[in-house]
Amino acid sequence: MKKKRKKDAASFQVTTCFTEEELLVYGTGGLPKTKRAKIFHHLNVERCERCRDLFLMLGREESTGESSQVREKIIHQLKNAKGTVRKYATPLKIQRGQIWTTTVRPKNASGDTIASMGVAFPVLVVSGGSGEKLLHNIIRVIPVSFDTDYEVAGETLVIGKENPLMYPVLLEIFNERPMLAGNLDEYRGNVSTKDLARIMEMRERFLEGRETEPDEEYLAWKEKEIELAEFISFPVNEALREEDTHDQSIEIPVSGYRKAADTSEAELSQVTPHVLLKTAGFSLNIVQIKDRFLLRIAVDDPGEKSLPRILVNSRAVLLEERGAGVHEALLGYADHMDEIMELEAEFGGEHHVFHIRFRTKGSQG
Amino acid sequence: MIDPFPKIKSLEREGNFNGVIQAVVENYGDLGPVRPELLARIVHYLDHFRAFISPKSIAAIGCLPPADLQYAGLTDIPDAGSGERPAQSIGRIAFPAVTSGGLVREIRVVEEEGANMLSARLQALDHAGAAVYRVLKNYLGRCCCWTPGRFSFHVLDPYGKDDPAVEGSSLLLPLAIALYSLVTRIPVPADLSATAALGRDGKVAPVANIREKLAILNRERFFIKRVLVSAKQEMPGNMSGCRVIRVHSLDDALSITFQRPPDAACFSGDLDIDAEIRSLSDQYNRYLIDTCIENADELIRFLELKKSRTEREKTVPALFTCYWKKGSCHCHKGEVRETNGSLKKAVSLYRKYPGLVRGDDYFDARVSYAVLLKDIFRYGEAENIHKQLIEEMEQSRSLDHIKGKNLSTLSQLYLAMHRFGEAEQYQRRAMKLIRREELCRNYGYLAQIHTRSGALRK
Repeated sequence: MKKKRKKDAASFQVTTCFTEEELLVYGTGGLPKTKRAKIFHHLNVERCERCRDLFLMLGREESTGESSQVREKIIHQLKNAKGTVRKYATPLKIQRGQIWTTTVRPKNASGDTIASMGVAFPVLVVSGGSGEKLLHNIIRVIPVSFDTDYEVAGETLVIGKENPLMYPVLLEIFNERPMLAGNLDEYRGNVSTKDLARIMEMRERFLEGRETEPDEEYLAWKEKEIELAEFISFPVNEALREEDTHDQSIEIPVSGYRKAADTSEAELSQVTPHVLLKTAGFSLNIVQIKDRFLLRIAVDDPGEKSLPRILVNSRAVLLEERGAGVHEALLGYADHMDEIMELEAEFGGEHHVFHIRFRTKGSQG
Repeated sequence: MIDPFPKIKSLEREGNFNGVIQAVVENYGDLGPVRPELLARIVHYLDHFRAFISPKSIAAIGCLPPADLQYAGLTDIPDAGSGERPAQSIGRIAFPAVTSGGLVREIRVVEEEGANMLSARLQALDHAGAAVYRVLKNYLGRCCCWTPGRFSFHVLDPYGKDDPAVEGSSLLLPLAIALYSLVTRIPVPADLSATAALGRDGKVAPVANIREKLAILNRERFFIKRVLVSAKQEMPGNMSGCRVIRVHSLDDALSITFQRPPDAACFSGDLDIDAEIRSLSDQYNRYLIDTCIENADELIRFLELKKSRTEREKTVPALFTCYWKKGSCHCHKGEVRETNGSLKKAVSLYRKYPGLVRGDDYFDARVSYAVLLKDIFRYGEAENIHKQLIEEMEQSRSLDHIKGKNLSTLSQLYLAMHRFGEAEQYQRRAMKLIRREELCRNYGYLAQIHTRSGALRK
């Protein structure tokens, strides 16, 4: 990470830079005075490289006079060409490596608009889900930022201007999140195979931990970026956890396990937890350990006696204390799990219902 | 919030026990659902891998909630540093590696005749062994052949399983140290590791990811206090932990590692010529070309001194094989001048000592040479040799099968030269001489000729 940064610890792309549309309209003289002054300051005093490049690409030079012919040309551009950077044919399938902008009016899975954003975000697709650009398809994306000064090995990655956006960008690997594919707006092109390989490698490494100790400025920026990108995954979370009813559908993969005569203790690779509900100091989980599926409640305070009442398929479950703040009950074995299970929990004065589907390898997803 | 459990799982898979303990303690609050299993694993590490658990990890365990420590039976952990330390060991050394993450593995070199090693490992062993035997030869001052076929090595994780994912040039120096330890029977000190590339000439070269490698050694093998690296290795600043020792050559590395010189009695004085000649063929067949050339040179020097009248019967055929193999190896490397020099010597031995070198071996050698020449597109020279051999074989009343082989390879040469008529003619002649059980192969060659010449109906 570079030691000196010229920018504040906030997302430059959102708080300081301007959208292509704003720059285009600025070029036509169509903005209010205060906004025009801000853009003028940004282009000529702050000399933002990204916005200056973008402005030049729009076919306007800030200081030149405006002829009516040019003005008409720009208005035409504004009306007919949303994207001013290189145009690509929209692909049939959403796939890894594609850069898209997000819609400014994200919708939930039911198609209702849930927010109105001031600006679209570019994102890089790292998992295309079923490939359809529909609201029921959950994909995974990495937000793309222009704050290239905040490169921290293991957390973020800068790719040069040979990308579809045509200026250097910072991939916020730490900020990867799920998104409803229907909330993608405009396709901007694919990153190169070489860059994609770097990105995927960095993404893998991210799980293994940061390589550089970040400074406070970076942490403040990171927090801000996470906050700013929350709108991307909000509809997904909403789809998974309908807050009004606390009714959730969860799919749990069942890992195959060869029992043989194995009586040894579990290695960590044979332990897979699935969190159903988590609050401060409490979590409700299903954990697969070797071939056993356990319902587990973990509490930080070992003296906590008021455990929630749990019903599995309408039958009360007796939880046993396991130690280390954990209480558990056996749900079943990998080769005999019911495909569907309904789990109810009374917790914090609320009634939670989980529709759990245990998916064995090869079953239809 | 990122789930820390996948990273912890990956640390355990890699055998990074200190990494697991420290990550568990650091993220304990987020690991609620799997705490019992994590505590059980910590107990397991302390029971089975106590020597690897660092004082830092022991101190970290002490920071876990007392109730949980009590539940896991971890209230009475012996003082940090009081555990058993790994002993010095022969043929074994720990070294750091970086694959998807950092890890420490142990190279274990063993004497294992005819081991079925992966090609990359065989090449690495051959490379390191050539450098080790260069040092030994200088020290012993006598003929000393490196025989890769006698040895094998394993890259073991802490569970004792071979880890095929670990490869690369940085294991060459530790491999050479472990091999030297095995052949000299001097143990490698437990507080020493190495990470550097190594040339056959014994020069030590830098490696990538040195920061990660030193950091992983520091965390996972706290008792390693010295690490050998190349003198040219660029080092990141502020590296704490073990002492980095820079070396220029394997010779430097061995004198730092081993406090005493090897016992010359470990090496038998006389060479077993028959065994060495068999090894030479084995090296040639396994494509260990440089070792084959170096050993052939070594044996030639040794045998030329012993070529007295009394020992001729044994030394001349051995010399013939050495020159023949050496010439063939040079040919594989495209070194035609050296090839010619060696093969001429082989031919002159055959002619000078009639009866000592078997005619079939001689013809076989020359046919093989002609094939090699064809493979490097020296068609004219290859054709001349085949033609000469036809005459020589007639004169020496060679076996039909040998004659057939020569004609068949000449046919294949013509096929390569697009002289399809002659190719067919010689293949048909060969098929009349070749052993019945090998004829199917010649039918295949004939079919190739017809296909290439467009005579598909044939």
